[in-house]
Amino acid sequence: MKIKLKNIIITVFIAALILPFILITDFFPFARFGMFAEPVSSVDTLKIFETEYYQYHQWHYLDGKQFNMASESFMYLAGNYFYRNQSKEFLLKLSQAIPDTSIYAWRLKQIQIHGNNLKQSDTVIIETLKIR
Amino acid sequence: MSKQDKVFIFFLLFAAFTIPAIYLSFFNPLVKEYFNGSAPDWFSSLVEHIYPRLTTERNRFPVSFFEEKAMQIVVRISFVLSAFAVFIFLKKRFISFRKFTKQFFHGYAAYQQINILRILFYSSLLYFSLEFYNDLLVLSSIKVFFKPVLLLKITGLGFPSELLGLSLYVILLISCILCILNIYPVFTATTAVLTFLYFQAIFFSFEKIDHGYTTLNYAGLLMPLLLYQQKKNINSESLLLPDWPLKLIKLALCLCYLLAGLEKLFISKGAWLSPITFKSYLYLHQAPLGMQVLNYPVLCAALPVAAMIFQLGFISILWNEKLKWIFLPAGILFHIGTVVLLGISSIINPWIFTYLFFIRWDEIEPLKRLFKPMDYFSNRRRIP
Repeated sequence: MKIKLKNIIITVFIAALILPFILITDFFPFARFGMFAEPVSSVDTLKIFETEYYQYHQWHYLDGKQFNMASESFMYLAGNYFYRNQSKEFLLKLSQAIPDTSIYAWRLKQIQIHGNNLKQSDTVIIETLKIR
Repeated sequence: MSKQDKVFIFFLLFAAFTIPAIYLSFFNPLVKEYFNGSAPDWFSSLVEHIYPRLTTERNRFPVSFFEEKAMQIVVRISFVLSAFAVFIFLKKRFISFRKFTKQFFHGYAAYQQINILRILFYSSLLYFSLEFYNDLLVLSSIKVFFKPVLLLKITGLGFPSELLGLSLYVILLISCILCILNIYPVFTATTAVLTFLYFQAIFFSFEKIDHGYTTLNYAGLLMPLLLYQQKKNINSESLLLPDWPLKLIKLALCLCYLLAGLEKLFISKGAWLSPITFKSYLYLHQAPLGMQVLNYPVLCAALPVAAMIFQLGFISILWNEKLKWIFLPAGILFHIGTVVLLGISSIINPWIFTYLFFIRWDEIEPLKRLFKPMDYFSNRRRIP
Protein backbone atom coordinates (compact mmCIF):
# COMPACT_ATOMS: atom_id res chain seq x y z
CA MET A 1 0.00 0.00 0.00
CA LYS A 2 1.44 3.36 -0.99
CA ILE A 3 2.09 6.00 1.65
CA LYS A 4 -0.32 8.33 -0.11
CA LEU A 5 -3.21 5.87 0.16
CA LYS A 6 -2.37 5.31 3.82
CA ASN A 7 -2.63 9.06 4.49
CA ILE A 8 -5.93 9.26 2.61
CA ILE A 9 -7.37 6.39 4.65
CA ILE A 10 -6.24 7.95 7.94
CA THR A 11 -7.60 11.40 7.03
CA VAL A 12 -10.94 10.13 5.74
CA PHE A 13 -11.43 7.87 8.77
CA ILE A 14 -10.66 10.63 11.29
CA ALA A 15 -12.96 13.02 9.39
CA ALA A 16 -15.73 10.39 9.45
CA LEU A 17 -15.30 10.03 13.21
CA ILE A 18 -15.56 13.77 13.82
CA LEU A 19 -18.35 14.54 11.33
CA PRO A 20 -21.25 13.20 13.51
CA PHE A 21 -19.99 15.38 16.39
CA ILE A 22 -19.93 18.49 14.19
CA LEU A 23 -23.31 17.88 12.55
CA ILE A 24 -24.97 16.53 15.75
CA THR A 25 -26.31 13.42 14.05
CA ASP A 26 -25.44 9.78 13.48
CA PHE A 27 -24.13 8.56 10.14
CA PHE A 28 -24.21 4.87 10.94
CA PRO A 29 -21.70 3.23 11.43
CA PHE A 30 -20.19 6.55 12.55
CA ALA A 31 -21.86 7.70 15.73
CA ARG A 32 -22.63 10.85 17.62
CA PHE A 33 -22.52 10.16 21.34
CA GLY A 34 -25.54 12.15 22.45
CA MET A 35 -26.80 9.65 25.01
CA PHE A 36 -26.98 11.29 28.44
CA ALA A 37 -25.65 14.52 26.97
CA GLU A 38 -28.84 16.56 27.28
CA PRO A 39 -29.18 18.05 30.75
CA VAL A 40 -32.30 16.91 32.61
CA SER A 41 -33.67 19.36 35.10
CA SER A 42 -35.52 18.13 38.17
CA VAL A 43 -38.28 20.63 37.37
CA ASP A 44 -38.82 19.24 33.87
CA THR A 45 -41.87 17.17 33.06
CA LEU A 46 -40.95 13.64 32.10
CA LYS A 47 -43.14 12.10 29.40
CA ILE A 48 -43.51 8.35 29.19
CA PHE A 49 -45.41 6.54 26.43
CA GLU A 50 -47.10 3.22 27.09
CA THR A 51 -48.92 0.91 24.74
CA GLU A 52 -51.68 -1.39 25.98
CA TYR A 53 -54.00 -3.99 24.46
CA TYR A 54 -57.43 -5.11 25.62
CA GLN A 55 -57.67 -8.85 26.02
CA TYR A 56 -59.83 -11.07 28.27
CA HIS A 57 -61.71 -8.06 29.71
CA GLN A 58 -58.67 -6.11 30.84
CA TRP A 59 -55.89 -3.87 29.58
CA HIS A 60 -52.37 -5.35 29.37
CA TYR A 61 -49.09 -3.43 29.10
CA LEU A 62 -47.08 -4.17 25.93
CA ASP A 63 -43.34 -4.32 26.59
CA GLY A 64 -40.89 -3.72 23.73
CA LYS A 65 -38.88 -6.67 25.04
CA GLN A 66 -41.45 -8.91 23.35
CA PHE A 67 -39.90 -7.74 20.04
CA ASN A 68 -36.37 -7.90 21.40
CA MET A 69 -36.39 -4.11 21.60
CA ALA A 70 -35.32 -2.33 24.77
CA SER A 71 -38.44 -0.99 26.55
CA GLU A 72 -37.06 2.56 26.18
CA SER A 73 -36.57 2.10 22.42
CA PHE A 74 -40.14 0.91 21.96
CA MET A 75 -41.39 3.85 24.04
CA TYR A 76 -39.24 6.15 21.91
CA LEU A 77 -40.79 4.69 18.73
CA ALA A 78 -44.31 5.24 20.13
CA GLY A 79 -43.33 8.80 21.10
CA ASN A 80 -42.07 9.50 17.58
CA TYR A 81 -45.42 8.50 16.07
CA PHE A 82 -47.21 10.65 18.66
CA TYR A 83 -45.14 13.74 17.86
CA ARG A 84 -45.75 13.22 14.13
CA ASN A 85 -49.51 13.08 14.86
CA GLN A 86 -49.53 9.46 13.69
CA SER A 87 -50.70 7.72 16.89
CA LYS A 88 -53.55 5.99 15.05
CA GLU A 89 -51.12 4.74 12.39
CA PHE A 90 -48.86 3.44 15.15
CA LEU A 91 -51.68 1.42 16.72
CA LEU A 92 -52.82 0.20 13.31
CA LYS A 93 -49.31 -1.04 12.47
CA LEU A 94 -49.10 -2.69 15.87
CA SER A 95 -52.40 -4.50 15.33
CA GLN A 96 -51.03 -5.75 11.98
CA ALA A 97 -47.80 -6.87 13.62
CA ILE A 98 -49.70 -8.76 16.35
CA PRO A 99 -52.78 -10.19 14.61
CA ASP A 100 -54.14 -11.87 17.74
CA THR A 101 -57.88 -12.50 17.44
CA SER A 102 -58.34 -12.35 21.21
CA ILE A 103 -57.24 -8.68 21.26
CA TYR A 104 -60.19 -6.29 21.02
CA ALA A 105 -58.49 -2.91 21.15
CA TRP A 106 -55.19 -1.07 21.34
CA ARG A 107 -54.39 2.19 23.05
CA LEU A 108 -51.49 4.61 23.43
CA LYS A 109 -51.05 6.41 26.75
CA GLN A 110 -48.88 9.32 27.78
CA ILE A 111 -47.83 9.58 31.41
CA GLN A 112 -46.50 12.96 32.51
CA ILE A 113 -44.37 12.95 35.66
CA HIS A 114 -43.80 16.37 37.20
CA GLY A 115 -40.53 17.34 38.88
CA ASN A 116 -39.06 13.87 39.40
CA ASN A 117 -41.96 12.82 41.60
CA LEU A 118 -43.50 9.55 40.51
CA LYS A 119 -46.54 10.23 42.73
CA GLN A 120 -47.31 13.41 40.81
CA SER A 121 -48.23 11.96 37.45
CA ASP A 122 -51.00 12.57 34.94
CA THR A 123 -52.08 9.93 32.46
CA VAL A 124 -53.63 10.88 29.15
CA ILE A 125 -55.10 8.37 26.69
CA ILE A 126 -53.83 9.65 23.37
CA GLU A 127 -55.51 7.23 20.99
CA THR A 128 -57.61 4.10 21.15
CA LEU A 129 -58.08 1.72 18.24
CA LYS A 130 -60.92 -0.80 18.36
CA ILE A 131 -60.31 -3.67 15.99
CA ARG A 132 -63.35 -5.85 16.76
CA MET B 1 7.67 27.91 12.39
CA SER B 2 7.68 28.72 8.66
CA LYS B 3 5.76 31.57 7.09
CA GLN B 4 3.59 29.01 5.30
CA ASP B 5 2.59 27.46 8.66
CA LYS B 6 1.77 30.86 10.11
CA VAL B 7 -0.45 31.67 7.11
CA PHE B 8 -2.20 28.32 7.42
CA ILE B 9 -2.87 28.82 11.16
CA PHE B 10 -4.10 32.36 10.46
CA PHE B 11 -6.42 31.02 7.74
CA LEU B 12 -7.87 28.35 10.10
CA LEU B 13 -8.48 30.87 12.90
CA PHE B 14 -9.89 33.43 10.46
CA ALA B 15 -12.35 30.81 9.17
CA ALA B 16 -13.21 29.76 12.74
CA PHE B 17 -14.22 33.30 13.65
CA THR B 18 -15.89 34.36 10.42
CA ILE B 19 -18.06 31.26 9.86
CA PRO B 20 -20.42 32.11 12.80
CA ALA B 21 -20.76 35.68 11.49
CA ILE B 22 -21.53 34.45 7.96
CA TYR B 23 -24.08 31.99 9.35
CA LEU B 24 -25.86 34.61 11.44
CA SER B 25 -25.94 37.09 8.55
CA PHE B 26 -26.99 34.85 5.68
CA PHE B 27 -28.07 31.35 6.74
CA ASN B 28 -29.91 31.76 10.05
CA PRO B 29 -33.16 32.82 8.29
CA LEU B 30 -33.08 29.53 6.34
CA VAL B 31 -33.75 27.60 9.58
CA LYS B 32 -36.94 29.59 10.18
CA GLU B 33 -37.94 29.23 6.54
CA TYR B 34 -37.53 25.45 6.79
CA PHE B 35 -40.01 25.34 9.66
CA ASN B 36 -42.43 27.68 7.89
CA GLY B 37 -42.22 25.46 4.81
CA SER B 38 -40.90 28.33 2.68
CA ALA B 39 -37.28 27.15 2.38
CA PRO B 40 -35.98 26.11 -1.06
CA ASP B 41 -36.75 22.46 -1.86
CA TRP B 42 -33.07 21.50 -2.14
CA PHE B 43 -32.45 22.82 1.36
CA SER B 44 -35.42 21.01 2.94
CA SER B 45 -34.48 17.80 1.15
CA LEU B 46 -30.83 18.06 2.26
CA VAL B 47 -31.79 18.76 5.88
CA GLU B 48 -34.19 15.79 6.02
CA HIS B 49 -31.61 13.46 4.53
CA ILE B 50 -29.01 14.44 7.12
CA TYR B 51 -31.52 14.68 9.98
CA PRO B 52 -34.29 12.10 9.45
CA ARG B 53 -35.43 12.75 13.05
CA LEU B 54 -36.41 16.31 12.12
CA THR B 55 -39.69 15.12 10.61
CA THR B 56 -40.61 14.06 14.15
CA GLU B 57 -38.89 16.77 16.14
CA ARG B 58 -40.23 19.72 14.15
CA ASN B 59 -43.64 18.78 15.61
CA ARG B 60 -42.18 18.46 19.09
CA PHE B 61 -40.02 21.52 19.69
CA PRO B 62 -40.32 25.24 18.88
CA VAL B 63 -38.22 26.78 16.10
CA SER B 64 -35.92 28.37 18.72
CA PHE B 65 -34.74 24.85 19.70
CA PHE B 66 -33.52 24.22 16.15
CA GLU B 67 -32.00 27.68 15.80
CA GLU B 68 -29.94 26.85 18.88
CA LYS B 69 -28.93 23.47 17.42
CA ALA B 70 -27.96 25.09 14.09
CA MET B 71 -25.83 27.59 16.02
CA GLN B 72 -24.27 24.63 17.88
CA ILE B 73 -23.17 23.16 14.55
CA VAL B 74 -21.55 26.45 13.56
CA VAL B 75 -19.80 26.69 16.95
CA ARG B 76 -18.57 23.10 16.57
CA ILE B 77 -17.14 23.85 13.10
CA SER B 78 -15.30 26.81 14.64
CA PHE B 79 -14.14 24.63 17.54
CA VAL B 80 -12.73 21.92 15.26
CA LEU B 81 -10.97 24.52 13.06
CA SER B 82 -9.47 26.20 16.15
CA ALA B 83 -8.41 22.82 17.58
CA PHE B 84 -6.72 22.01 14.26
CA ALA B 85 -4.90 25.38 14.37
CA VAL B 86 -3.70 24.63 17.93
CA PHE B 87 -2.57 21.16 16.78
CA ILE B 88 -0.51 22.66 13.92
CA PHE B 89 0.95 25.27 16.30
CA LEU B 90 1.97 22.64 18.89
CA LYS B 91 3.42 20.43 16.17
CA LYS B 92 5.56 23.20 14.76
CA ARG B 93 6.49 24.85 18.07
CA PHE B 94 7.37 21.89 20.35
CA ILE B 95 9.92 19.29 19.32
CA SER B 96 8.55 16.54 21.58
CA PHE B 97 5.03 16.98 20.16
CA ARG B 98 6.39 17.05 16.59
CA LYS B 99 8.33 13.85 17.26
CA PHE B 100 5.22 12.22 18.73
CA THR B 101 2.95 13.10 15.79
CA LYS B 102 5.61 12.18 13.24
CA GLN B 103 6.22 8.76 14.75
CA PHE B 104 2.60 7.98 15.62
CA PHE B 105 1.62 6.41 12.31
CA HIS B 106 5.13 5.16 11.49
CA GLY B 107 5.59 2.57 14.20
CA TYR B 108 5.85 -1.21 14.13
CA ALA B 109 4.06 -4.01 15.91
CA ALA B 110 5.19 -7.56 16.49
CA TYR B 111 3.80 -10.22 14.17
CA GLN B 112 2.68 -12.21 17.19
CA GLN B 113 0.88 -9.18 18.66
CA ILE B 114 -1.29 -8.90 15.52
CA ASN B 115 -1.95 -12.63 15.62
CA ILE B 116 -3.20 -12.53 19.20
CA LEU B 117 -5.25 -9.39 18.53
CA ARG B 118 -6.85 -11.10 15.53
CA ILE B 119 -7.84 -14.13 17.57
CA LEU B 120 -9.17 -12.09 20.49
CA PHE B 121 -11.03 -9.52 18.39
CA TYR B 122 -12.80 -11.99 16.09
CA SER B 123 -13.66 -14.17 19.09
CA SER B 124 -15.34 -11.07 20.62
CA LEU B 125 -17.12 -10.32 17.34
CA LEU B 126 -18.29 -13.93 17.19
CA TYR B 127 -19.55 -13.77 20.77
CA PHE B 128 -21.48 -10.52 20.26
CA SER B 129 -22.99 -11.82 16.99
CA LEU B 130 -24.39 -15.03 18.42
CA GLU B 131 -27.86 -13.62 19.16
CA PHE B 132 -28.16 -11.66 15.89
CA TYR B 133 -30.29 -14.18 14.01
CA ASN B 134 -32.66 -14.62 16.93
CA ASP B 135 -32.92 -10.82 17.27
CA LEU B 136 -33.66 -10.55 13.56
CA LEU B 137 -36.45 -13.14 13.76
CA VAL B 138 -38.12 -11.41 16.70
CA LEU B 139 -37.82 -7.98 15.05
CA SER B 140 -39.32 -9.31 11.82
CA SER B 141 -42.68 -9.42 13.64
CA ILE B 142 -42.68 -5.60 13.76
CA LYS B 143 -41.08 -4.89 10.41
CA VAL B 144 -44.08 -2.66 9.62
CA PHE B 145 -42.16 -0.04 11.66
CA PHE B 146 -38.96 -0.52 9.63
CA LYS B 147 -37.43 2.78 8.45
CA PRO B 148 -34.00 2.13 6.89
CA VAL B 149 -30.99 4.10 8.13
CA LEU B 150 -29.04 6.18 5.59
CA LEU B 151 -26.51 3.39 4.95
CA LEU B 152 -29.29 0.98 3.93
CA LYS B 153 -30.95 3.65 1.78
CA ILE B 154 -27.68 4.33 -0.05
CA THR B 155 -26.91 0.64 -0.58
CA GLY B 156 -30.52 -0.17 -1.45
CA LEU B 157 -30.67 -2.94 1.14
CA GLY B 158 -33.84 -3.66 3.07
CA PHE B 159 -35.15 -5.98 5.77
CA PRO B 160 -33.91 -9.46 4.79
CA SER B 161 -36.12 -12.48 4.24
CA GLU B 162 -35.76 -15.31 6.76
CA LEU B 163 -33.56 -17.32 4.38
CA LEU B 164 -31.30 -14.38 3.50
CA GLY B 165 -31.04 -13.44 7.18
CA LEU B 166 -30.01 -16.99 8.06
CA SER B 167 -27.48 -17.11 5.20
CA LEU B 168 -25.89 -13.82 6.26
CA TYR B 169 -25.81 -14.96 9.87
CA VAL B 170 -23.99 -18.17 8.89
CA ILE B 171 -21.59 -16.13 6.72
CA LEU B 172 -20.89 -13.82 9.68
CA LEU B 173 -20.15 -16.68 12.07
CA ILE B 174 -18.05 -18.65 9.57
CA SER B 175 -16.09 -15.52 8.61
CA CYS B 176 -15.22 -14.89 12.26
CA ILE B 177 -14.16 -18.50 12.79
CA LEU B 178 -12.04 -18.58 9.61
CA CYS B 179 -10.41 -15.30 10.57
CA ILE B 180 -9.61 -16.64 14.03
CA LEU B 181 -7.97 -19.62 12.30
CA ASN B 182 -6.06 -17.23 10.01
CA ILE B 183 -7.63 -18.61 6.84
CA TYR B 184 -7.83 -15.87 4.20
CA PRO B 185 -7.78 -13.35 7.10
CA VAL B 186 -8.16 -10.16 5.03
CA PHE B 187 -11.16 -11.50 3.07
CA THR B 188 -12.86 -13.13 6.07
CA ALA B 189 -12.26 -10.06 8.27
CA THR B 190 -13.89 -7.84 5.61
CA THR B 191 -16.85 -10.20 5.22
CA ALA B 192 -17.27 -10.41 8.99
CA VAL B 193 -17.39 -6.65 9.50
CA LEU B 194 -19.72 -6.04 6.54
CA THR B 195 -22.27 -8.60 7.74
CA PHE B 196 -21.86 -7.41 11.35
CA LEU B 197 -22.65 -3.85 10.22
CA TYR B 198 -25.58 -5.00 8.07
CA PHE B 199 -27.29 -6.72 11.01
CA GLN B 200 -26.85 -3.63 13.16
CA ALA B 201 -28.15 -1.38 10.38
CA ILE B 202 -31.31 -3.51 10.34
CA PHE B 203 -31.65 -3.37 14.14
CA PHE B 204 -31.21 0.42 14.17
CA SER B 205 -33.77 0.99 11.41
CA PHE B 206 -36.53 1.29 13.98
CA GLU B 207 -35.92 5.00 14.60
CA LYS B 208 -33.32 4.45 17.33
CA ILE B 209 -29.58 4.00 16.97
CA ASP B 210 -27.70 2.22 19.75
CA HIS B 211 -24.03 3.02 20.33
CA GLY B 212 -23.17 -0.19 22.18
CA TYR B 213 -21.20 -1.73 19.31
CA THR B 214 -19.64 1.49 17.97
CA THR B 215 -16.09 0.76 19.13
CA LEU B 216 -16.31 -2.81 17.75
CA ASN B 217 -17.48 -1.34 14.44
CA TYR B 218 -14.57 1.10 14.23
CA ALA B 219 -12.04 -1.58 15.10
CA GLY B 220 -13.76 -4.03 12.72
CA LEU B 221 -13.55 -1.57 9.84
CA LEU B 222 -9.81 -1.12 10.37
CA MET B 223 -8.78 -4.67 11.25
CA PRO B 224 -8.69 -5.87 7.60
CA LEU B 225 -6.08 -3.16 6.93
CA LEU B 226 -3.97 -4.40 9.82
CA LEU B 227 -4.26 -7.99 8.60
CA TYR B 228 -3.35 -6.79 5.12
CA GLN B 229 -0.09 -5.39 6.54
CA GLN B 230 0.56 -8.83 7.99
CA LYS B 231 -0.17 -10.52 4.67
CA LYS B 232 1.96 -8.04 2.74
CA ASN B 233 4.96 -8.68 4.99
CA ILE B 234 4.55 -12.43 5.15
CA ASN B 235 7.79 -13.16 3.37
CA SER B 236 9.84 -10.45 5.00
CA GLU B 237 12.66 -11.39 7.33
CA SER B 238 11.50 -9.02 10.05
CA LEU B 239 8.99 -10.02 12.70
CA LEU B 240 7.83 -6.41 12.92
CA LEU B 241 4.98 -5.01 10.83
CA PRO B 242 3.83 -1.44 10.11
CA ASP B 243 1.21 -0.77 12.77
CA TRP B 244 -0.56 2.34 11.46
CA PRO B 245 -3.99 0.60 11.25
CA LEU B 246 -3.55 -0.46 14.90
CA LYS B 247 -2.65 3.10 15.85
CA LEU B 248 -5.71 4.34 13.94
CA ILE B 249 -7.88 1.86 15.88
CA LYS B 250 -6.46 3.17 19.17
CA LEU B 251 -7.00 6.77 18.07
CA ALA B 252 -10.60 5.98 17.05
CA LEU B 253 -11.32 4.36 20.43
CA CYS B 254 -9.84 7.35 22.28
CA LEU B 255 -11.81 9.77 20.10
CA CYS B 256 -15.04 7.95 21.04
CA TYR B 257 -14.51 8.93 24.68
CA LEU B 258 -13.22 12.42 23.87
CA LEU B 259 -16.15 13.21 21.56
CA ALA B 260 -18.65 11.76 24.06
CA GLY B 261 -17.22 14.07 26.75
CA LEU B 262 -17.20 17.11 24.45
CA GLU B 263 -20.76 16.33 23.34
CA LYS B 264 -21.95 16.54 26.94
CA LEU B 265 -20.14 19.83 27.54
CA PHE B 266 -21.36 21.41 24.30
CA ILE B 267 -24.99 20.34 24.55
CA SER B 268 -25.44 21.07 28.24
CA LYS B 269 -23.15 24.12 28.22
CA GLY B 270 -21.45 22.77 31.34
CA ALA B 271 -24.69 21.95 33.20
CA TRP B 272 -23.90 18.25 32.79
CA LEU B 273 -21.31 18.57 35.55
CA SER B 274 -23.93 19.80 37.98
CA PRO B 275 -25.04 17.32 40.69
CA ILE B 276 -28.65 18.27 39.82
CA THR B 277 -28.27 16.78 36.32
CA PHE B 278 -26.67 13.63 37.70
CA LYS B 279 -29.40 13.24 40.34
CA SER B 280 -32.06 13.64 37.65
CA TYR B 281 -30.51 10.84 35.60
CA LEU B 282 -30.34 8.57 38.65
CA TYR B 283 -33.94 9.31 39.50
CA LEU B 284 -35.04 8.79 35.92
CA HIS B 285 -33.59 5.28 35.70
CA GLN B 286 -34.55 4.09 39.20
CA ALA B 287 -31.67 1.57 39.49
CA PRO B 288 -31.46 0.34 43.13
CA LEU B 289 -27.83 1.40 43.68
CA GLY B 290 -28.42 4.69 41.87
CA MET B 291 -31.27 5.45 44.24
CA GLN B 292 -28.91 4.79 47.18
CA VAL B 293 -26.30 7.19 45.75
CA LEU B 294 -28.95 9.94 45.78
CA ASN B 295 -28.52 10.00 49.57
CA TYR B 296 -24.83 10.99 49.28
CA PRO B 297 -24.42 14.57 47.97
CA VAL B 298 -20.63 14.22 47.83
CA LEU B 299 -20.91 11.27 45.45
CA CYS B 300 -23.52 13.10 43.35
CA ALA B 301 -21.08 15.98 42.96
CA ALA B 302 -17.91 13.92 42.44
CA LEU B 303 -19.09 11.17 40.08
CA PRO B 304 -20.06 13.37 37.06
CA VAL B 305 -16.77 15.30 37.38
CA ALA B 306 -14.80 12.04 37.57
CA ALA B 307 -16.69 10.68 34.53
CA MET B 308 -15.87 13.83 32.57
CA ILE B 309 -12.18 13.74 33.53
CA PHE B 310 -12.10 10.10 32.43
CA GLN B 311 -13.75 10.79 29.07
CA LEU B 312 -11.65 13.83 28.21
CA GLY B 313 -8.45 12.34 29.60
CA PHE B 314 -8.62 8.88 28.02
CA ILE B 315 -6.86 10.08 24.86
CA SER B 316 -3.73 10.90 26.94
CA ILE B 317 -2.81 7.19 26.85
CA LEU B 318 -1.71 7.72 23.25
CA TRP B 319 0.88 10.21 24.50
CA ASN B 320 2.01 8.25 27.54
CA GLU B 321 1.35 4.52 27.28
CA LYS B 322 1.85 3.98 31.02
CA LEU B 323 -1.33 5.96 31.68
CA LYS B 324 -3.33 3.02 30.33
CA TRP B 325 -2.87 1.32 33.69
CA ILE B 326 -4.96 4.13 35.16
CA PHE B 327 -7.45 4.75 32.34
CA LEU B 328 -8.25 1.16 31.38
CA PRO B 329 -9.30 0.11 34.91
CA ALA B 330 -11.07 3.47 35.23
CA GLY B 331 -12.90 2.69 31.97
CA ILE B 332 -14.02 -0.69 33.29
CA LEU B 333 -15.33 1.04 36.43
CA PHE B 334 -16.99 3.73 34.28
CA HIS B 335 -18.94 1.16 32.25
CA ILE B 336 -19.81 -0.98 35.27
CA GLY B 337 -20.95 2.25 36.98
CA THR B 338 -23.33 2.96 34.10
CA VAL B 339 -24.84 -0.50 34.57
CA VAL B 340 -25.23 -0.42 38.35
CA LEU B 341 -26.17 3.25 38.78
CA LEU B 342 -28.37 3.75 35.73
CA GLY B 343 -29.34 0.17 34.88
CA ILE B 344 -28.25 0.63 31.26
CA SER B 345 -26.29 -1.80 29.06
CA SER B 346 -24.67 -4.86 30.63
CA ILE B 347 -21.48 -5.79 32.45
CA ILE B 348 -20.28 -7.61 29.31
CA ASN B 349 -19.76 -4.39 27.41
CA PRO B 350 -18.33 -4.27 23.85
CA TRP B 351 -16.54 -1.03 24.72
CA ILE B 352 -14.53 -2.83 27.40
CA PHE B 353 -13.69 -5.65 24.97
CA THR B 354 -11.99 -3.18 22.62
CA TYR B 355 -9.48 -2.31 25.38
CA LEU B 356 -7.68 -5.42 24.13
CA PHE B 357 -6.07 -3.18 21.48
CA PHE B 358 -4.18 -1.30 24.21
CA ILE B 359 -2.54 -4.41 25.71
CA ARG B 360 0.88 -5.66 24.53
CA TRP B 361 -0.09 -9.32 24.29
CA ASP B 362 3.19 -10.30 22.69
CA GLU B 363 4.97 -9.48 25.93
CA ILE B 364 2.94 -12.03 27.87
CA GLU B 365 4.90 -15.29 27.44
CA PRO B 366 2.19 -17.81 28.46
CA LEU B 367 -0.19 -16.20 25.95
CA LYS B 368 2.37 -16.45 23.16
CA ARG B 369 2.63 -20.17 23.81
CA LEU B 370 -1.15 -20.55 24.06
CA PHE B 371 -1.90 -18.84 20.74
CA LYS B 372 0.98 -20.35 18.78
CA PRO B 373 -0.92 -23.52 17.73
CA MET B 374 -3.56 -21.33 16.04
CA ASP B 375 -0.96 -20.41 13.45
CA TYR B 376 -0.86 -24.03 12.38
CA PHE B 377 -3.92 -23.37 10.24
CA SER B 378 -2.29 -20.60 8.25
CA ASN B 379 0.42 -22.93 6.88
CA ARG B 380 2.28 -19.91 5.64
CA ARG B 381 4.60 -18.80 8.32
CA ARG B 382 5.83 -20.26 11.53
CA ILE B 383 6.67 -18.08 14.46
CA PRO B 384 10.20 -18.87 15.57
